[in-house]
Amino acid sequence: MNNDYDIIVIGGGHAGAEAAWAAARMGCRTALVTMQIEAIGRMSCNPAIGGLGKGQMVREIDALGGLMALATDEGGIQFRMLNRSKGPAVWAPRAQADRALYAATVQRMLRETDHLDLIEATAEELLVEESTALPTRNASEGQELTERKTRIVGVRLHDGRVICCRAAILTTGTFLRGLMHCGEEKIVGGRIGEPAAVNLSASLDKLGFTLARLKTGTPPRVHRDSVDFTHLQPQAGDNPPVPFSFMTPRITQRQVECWIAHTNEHTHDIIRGNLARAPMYSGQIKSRGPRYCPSIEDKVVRFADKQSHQVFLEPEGYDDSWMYCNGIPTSLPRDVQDALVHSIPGLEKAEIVQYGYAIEYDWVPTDQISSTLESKPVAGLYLAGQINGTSGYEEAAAQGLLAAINAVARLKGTEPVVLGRDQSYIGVMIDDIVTRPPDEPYRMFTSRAEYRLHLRSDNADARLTPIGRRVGLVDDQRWGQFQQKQAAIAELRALLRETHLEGRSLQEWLRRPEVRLRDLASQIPALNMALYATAVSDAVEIDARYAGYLEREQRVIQRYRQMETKLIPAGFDYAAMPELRREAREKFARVQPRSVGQAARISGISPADIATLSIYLARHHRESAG
Amino acid sequence: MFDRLDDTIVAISTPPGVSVRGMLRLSGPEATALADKVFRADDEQLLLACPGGRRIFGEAHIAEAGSVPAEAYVFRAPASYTRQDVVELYLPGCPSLLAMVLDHLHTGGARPAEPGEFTARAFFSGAMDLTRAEGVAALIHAHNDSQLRASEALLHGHLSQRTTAMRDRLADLLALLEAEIDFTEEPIEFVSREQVSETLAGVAAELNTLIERAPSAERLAYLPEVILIGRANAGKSTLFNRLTGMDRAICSATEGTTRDVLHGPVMLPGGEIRLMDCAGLSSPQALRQAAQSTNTPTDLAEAAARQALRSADMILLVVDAGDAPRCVLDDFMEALPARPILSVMNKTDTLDSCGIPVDATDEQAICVSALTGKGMEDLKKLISRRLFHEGHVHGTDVIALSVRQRAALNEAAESISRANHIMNNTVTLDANIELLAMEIHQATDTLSMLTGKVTTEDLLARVFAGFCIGK
Repeated sequence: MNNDYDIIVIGGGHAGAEAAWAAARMGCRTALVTMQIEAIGRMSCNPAIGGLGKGQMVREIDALGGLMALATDEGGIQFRMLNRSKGPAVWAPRAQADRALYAATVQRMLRETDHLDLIEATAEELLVEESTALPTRNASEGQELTERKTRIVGVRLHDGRVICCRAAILTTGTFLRGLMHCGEEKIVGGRIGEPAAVNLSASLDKLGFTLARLKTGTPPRVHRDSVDFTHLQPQAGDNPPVPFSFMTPRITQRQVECWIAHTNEHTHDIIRGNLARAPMYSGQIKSRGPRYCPSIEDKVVRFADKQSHQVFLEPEGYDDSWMYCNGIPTSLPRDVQDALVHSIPGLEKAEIVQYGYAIEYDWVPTDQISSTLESKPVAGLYLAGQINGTSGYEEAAAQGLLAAINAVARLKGTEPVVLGRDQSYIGVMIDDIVTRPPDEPYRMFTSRAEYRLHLRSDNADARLTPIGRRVGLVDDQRWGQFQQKQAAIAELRALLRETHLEGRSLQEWLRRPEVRLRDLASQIPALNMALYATAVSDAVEIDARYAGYLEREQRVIQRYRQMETKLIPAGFDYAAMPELRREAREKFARVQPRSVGQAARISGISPADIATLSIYLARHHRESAG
Repeated sequence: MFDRLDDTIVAISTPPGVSVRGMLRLSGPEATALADKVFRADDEQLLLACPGGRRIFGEAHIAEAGSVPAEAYVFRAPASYTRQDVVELYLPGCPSLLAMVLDHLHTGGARPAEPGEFTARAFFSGAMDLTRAEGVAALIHAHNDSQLRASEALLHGHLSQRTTAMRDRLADLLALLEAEIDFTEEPIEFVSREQVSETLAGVAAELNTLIERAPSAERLAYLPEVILIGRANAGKSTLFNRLTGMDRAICSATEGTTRDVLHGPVMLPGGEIRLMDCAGLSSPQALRQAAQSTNTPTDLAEAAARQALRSADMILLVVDAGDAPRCVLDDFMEALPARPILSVMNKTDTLDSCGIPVDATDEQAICVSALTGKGMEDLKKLISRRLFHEGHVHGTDVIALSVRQRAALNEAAESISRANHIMNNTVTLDANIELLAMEIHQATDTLSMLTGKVTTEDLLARVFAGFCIGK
């Protein structure tokens, strides 16, 4: 083992894997430190990638040159494009994955990556250096700032070894002081059968971080052979399956079905009768869980009049005998879980192979990171994934990727990458968490994106691949293919503008939602659609269809950008603004917004606060100019 | 607020109520070009071509109202208050006139200024230093400066209640539409086509009612207008002087002395009014013509009188008590527009006794002597009672709209109408749901400018509170 790296990634989940892959591919000597190498890329909860907002984000990761979409295309066993009945702006890819195959793919990809070492160890302590005041360049201001005093220099492992680094990315998932609950039973650990990271919390605390607790839960898994499928309704994937990655031409592996079961009044009676033994209700768990993924006990209590809830039985793999019971996450005791599962038609004889549990873990409230995901207390230390209060593999992976891009940018002294809300779901997510630290695990939804018509799964490459290329993540192959596609899009678009039918250009015809490009093309022999890939014709058709709306959205985006480009210099002294309300002064000082636009999105900030801030900024610019 | 500094803004910059001159201020790159749309210089030069620091005489033209004398002051960037191009238009201090010009400028492309926005521009451009800026943050906090009437806060209360109700209905609907999109895998129908149509129709109707029925704040915030009508020499000018306590009208025994519209404030028990006295309306024939004619008057005094009659909230019909009042009254009554009318029998001092069969407690008529002051207090009380208690002007459900508020409501109505259009042109709710959501989002955001913001978190909270989510 080497003991000197540019970047150390701590944690091998979806954030860590993505971060390590990206950092190494951008040419940095990278180490991924994880408790168990064979657990890298493991899906702790449901065996699926994508979904609304999340699927778009995976496409964005791919467009930037990340690994999640590639691994999903290899490990996916059922692909569906959600919301097909709605407009293309809200189509979202989702796939069931073979858990083992997915993790193996991720591990293989990491092993094949140059400059990357996988180290099996537990990180115990973050080592910092108190300052030689190494100046960091603030690119937006072009000023040298020296106020950062603490910076990361290495990591001490459980066996006492020390590895040095110039930047570190911390992706602890549910492992940071993880505590699992299953009925009255409490087990310290980060995942079933895996230990927790306890000392790292103490290390963070010592470095001045404030930690808080969040909670999430997972449902029981049952043995496939014990399920009576005759009573269940099958749910098939799309045919043909649509891949996640822009680089995958088609999905060739066999596709499998999921199954739908239902709870009933008897199930609900069992739950109601045992609420006192549910840690969520007995007071054993105090931290906040996600509202969009409530436990079955929560559903039964809060929606008492609902007589039945759906349970999706999702296979965990081709050869895997486990089936994931999506819809009934629970932390009830084992005997109650047995009874409630057995009350569901089709699962009368089901054998639970892993019981559901709730897990509480430490996170670092996100007013302690900036938009680059770099922590404020320790320079060079980046946080990604659940440690930032998010939930979901996709959210974690996206942050891992951006953390790596920015850690590398820091080491290379180049401009950091902060994606705009008008550019990507990833940008929306990071901006959301840094301006408003979540009070429940944060999950992406399309409704979080103001400029949804622009942020589509079909155009993620057009939005982000040039950025991925600039930072060195997009290889020649992807770049070549991207440029070809964009050229074809431009060509087809021009053709549609110039070709007329009944006095109207084809471009105009396409504004009508009921008009399809291929139907138009069939009336015009000169337009040979065979020359264009589906991805190309889709992109052109969708843009044409939304043209008027996109223009309107673009005008709103212009206003947003005006505010985003009014940058606030780092270390701006809010204490010297007596006209600011005290609440605003404290919030600005804590969050340290990058721009006036971001300042305005901080919760509890009024337009008047922004006006006052703008006055001081104007003075600052005048003084620094004069 | 203040997210744009590069467009052209406009506002009435004189305090409300009675004043001799009113001023409209424009600031921004299009200031002179926009002013040219309403102002014509006597020497016909365009303000656009005019260097800064000039005062130009001319006329303001407004389609319905003809033209009035006006002055324009042109300031060129950076030698102006805001360091942008600024035009100040001085017009006669008639609020309805100012409101009309403001409307024209707004239609022409000027954005109605936010409260404090001129001052904010002055700061952002560095036209003021921070010592002078001391009070500015506080001023902006108060959301109030000379451009914003004190009364607006009160009026705004009503408006904000009604727009909040509409915004909430839309936000509820939006939450459900977003849930249809984001929780597509849940076996739940969050909202039906019918519910969407119903809500849209309801909000559209409410918006239209508000827009159509609401007078402009410019109109409401000024004083109720009471006009004196009567034959020449019925003693209108004397009555005017007596009531206003001013010696503004030239009182003369020569018939037809009063040539212009005169106005002055009068304090009544129930509030302040604006009393107007004008020439050219001294016979039933003249009145009929004024009320009905659509011709553009050639004579400015006549035009002003006509405008005054149309905008008046109440008419005082002044009759010489010694002049066979009954038939005079009847003659006039027929010719007057539908307004509360109060008959004032003047010059009772010249009679031995009030020989007319009018009961002193009658709400329709009263005997006075403007010369001696007899009956003046009763007259004031009567006007006050009729005007303020019968709610002709300040009715409780009347909501005044500033140009800014009206623009926001119109914009929201347009979004809703586009949403309706989408609904009417799609078979399933799903097909264009993302566009429907976009329109309703815009309407909600627009209304939020008049109330408070609705965040994504608010929307999600609505969904999570109402539905069992969690596949």
